[in-house]
Amino acid sequence: GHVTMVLLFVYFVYEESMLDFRLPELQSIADFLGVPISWQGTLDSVFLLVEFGSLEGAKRVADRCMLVRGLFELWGQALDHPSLIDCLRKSPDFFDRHLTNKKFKYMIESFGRSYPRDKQMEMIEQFTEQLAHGGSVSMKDPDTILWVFEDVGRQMPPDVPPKQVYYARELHLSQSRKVAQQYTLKKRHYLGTTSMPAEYSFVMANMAQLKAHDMVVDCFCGTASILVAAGHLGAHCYGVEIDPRVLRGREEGKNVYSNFKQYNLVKPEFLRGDMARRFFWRAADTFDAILTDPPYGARAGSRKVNEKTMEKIIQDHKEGAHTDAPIIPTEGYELGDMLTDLLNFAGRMLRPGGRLVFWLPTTELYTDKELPSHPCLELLYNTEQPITIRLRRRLLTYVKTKKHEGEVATAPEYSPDMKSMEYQSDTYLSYKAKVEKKKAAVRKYKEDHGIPIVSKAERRREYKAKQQKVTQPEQECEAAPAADVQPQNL
Amino acid sequence: MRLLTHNLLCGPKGGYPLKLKVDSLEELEAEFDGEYVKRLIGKIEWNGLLSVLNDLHMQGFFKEIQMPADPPPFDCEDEELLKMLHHVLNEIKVIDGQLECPDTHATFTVKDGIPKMIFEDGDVGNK
Repeated sequence: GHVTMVLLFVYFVYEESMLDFRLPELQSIADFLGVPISWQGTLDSVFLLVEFGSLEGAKRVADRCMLVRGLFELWGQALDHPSLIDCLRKSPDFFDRHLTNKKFKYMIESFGRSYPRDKQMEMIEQFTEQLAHGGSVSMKDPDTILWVFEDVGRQMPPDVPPKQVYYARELHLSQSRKVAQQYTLKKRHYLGTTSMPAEYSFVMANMAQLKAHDMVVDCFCGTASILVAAGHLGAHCYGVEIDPRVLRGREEGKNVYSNFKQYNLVKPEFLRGDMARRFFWRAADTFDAILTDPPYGARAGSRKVNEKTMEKIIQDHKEGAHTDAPIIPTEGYELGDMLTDLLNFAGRMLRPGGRLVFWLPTTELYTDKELPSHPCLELLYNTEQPITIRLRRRLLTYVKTKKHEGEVATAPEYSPDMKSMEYQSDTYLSYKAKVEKKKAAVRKYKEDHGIPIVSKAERRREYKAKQQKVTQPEQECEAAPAADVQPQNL
Repeated sequence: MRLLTHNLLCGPKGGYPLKLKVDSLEELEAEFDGEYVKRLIGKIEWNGLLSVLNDLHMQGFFKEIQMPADPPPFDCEDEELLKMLHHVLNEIKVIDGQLECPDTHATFTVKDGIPKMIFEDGDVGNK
């Protein structure tokens, strides 16, 4: 039979770091839930008309997608409010069906601008009067919720008119907003520097199409922040981590289990293991999904360990102070090696149809030549996220298409000179030029106003001297050397 | 380390089942889902499960658990058996103990519920 699609106006989340992820997430979840979906054009700001197999299916998709705010029935669009009202007068059917003898309320939502309450009320009055659509206002219990959307754009001056205005009836607001709030890192009990924000973890889980009772592994789990999302979705979670300190935590009662306790989730199974020597898995095809944020290694420009610190670590280790901690490896985990290990692991351990979702560190100079590959893994999605001026990362989603036969992953050579390449990128150079310009301006100002110019090293010495004075008053009394005063020969 | 996890592990050259010595054990409660337990039947190595249950029995942790000698079918409808399987796989957790590879005799400690599956060349035990 022929499927009659419904055309819905989808309102997406605007999050600078997740712009390119919205349509891939939508596609992945629609496929997962078996809901036919299609759209035309691109998602330039936050609005897009999307066809779904059914309204019911669309609601299920919206609820699972972290980057969808809601689904609407579009009644009209135009360049400004008066034109919009004209356009709407031509569609009395909508009003007859949803407003005559019905209770309604209005929402005003502008992408890129915010209006104070009285300005919003003014707009609402304009629409209500000029459309003369009947019905009665009910804030608490409306039958129909009408939204007036404006697409202005980010950081536009106040006099710039919207690119487009829309009038739409609310069909469904996504439940995913509540999930994001529930799992926000701001309230998380155990965090580390590498903990993944809730939205990203859930988007990863959506790219992997996780469902209840899936077996999922994060093979570089750290504080297991990604597994929190998997746990929420009812998956059985496994975390592999080489460093016992991040599992153990630094304080009593705050460790890798704390977050699962906090959210009342089933505790994952953790294992200490080294992905470079991952002998310990008995059988292939065990996992439904692998989700991970691997160590970025040499590519991210790993800092050299300070010599003194290094000596102390080795000394402590010899004396047995930290017998459990791994010695800082003298060679880093090279990115290429890590990727072949990860893909070989996935090639063996995923069930056919299972997905591998992970972040690949990269720069502005990325090309597809940087992608690792494995004959059993097909790349489905590849979306970029900016991190800093120099660094970006890509979320890669692979699916296992056939059974594994041996360790056969390949990764390109990642230039060890990546650090200098990063410093030559256009973005970095223009940023550096701005910084230099500002420094020159500050120097000139100081010269013009007779303010002494003190070097950074000098300022640091002054600061340290001040700190010493503050902390040493008691010590000074003890440490004053007993001067061996010889009687003077006068 | 739950007993399900034990069943997924092997030694440095693929040897299994790892012999389990337990210092402390915990029993927890986990929600029973029959469909999930049936899927586990396909994943686990049955003799490995019988072997580890025997390890535990020999150390006095349980009176002998009545498990069939052969794995149940994938479409098993014996609710009692499924519930028992669920109990041993998902509700028994080793907190402290040791795992030993039957082939290489390499040993791996379990501490605070976490097995240390790290093996340096030259770590092979003497037996």
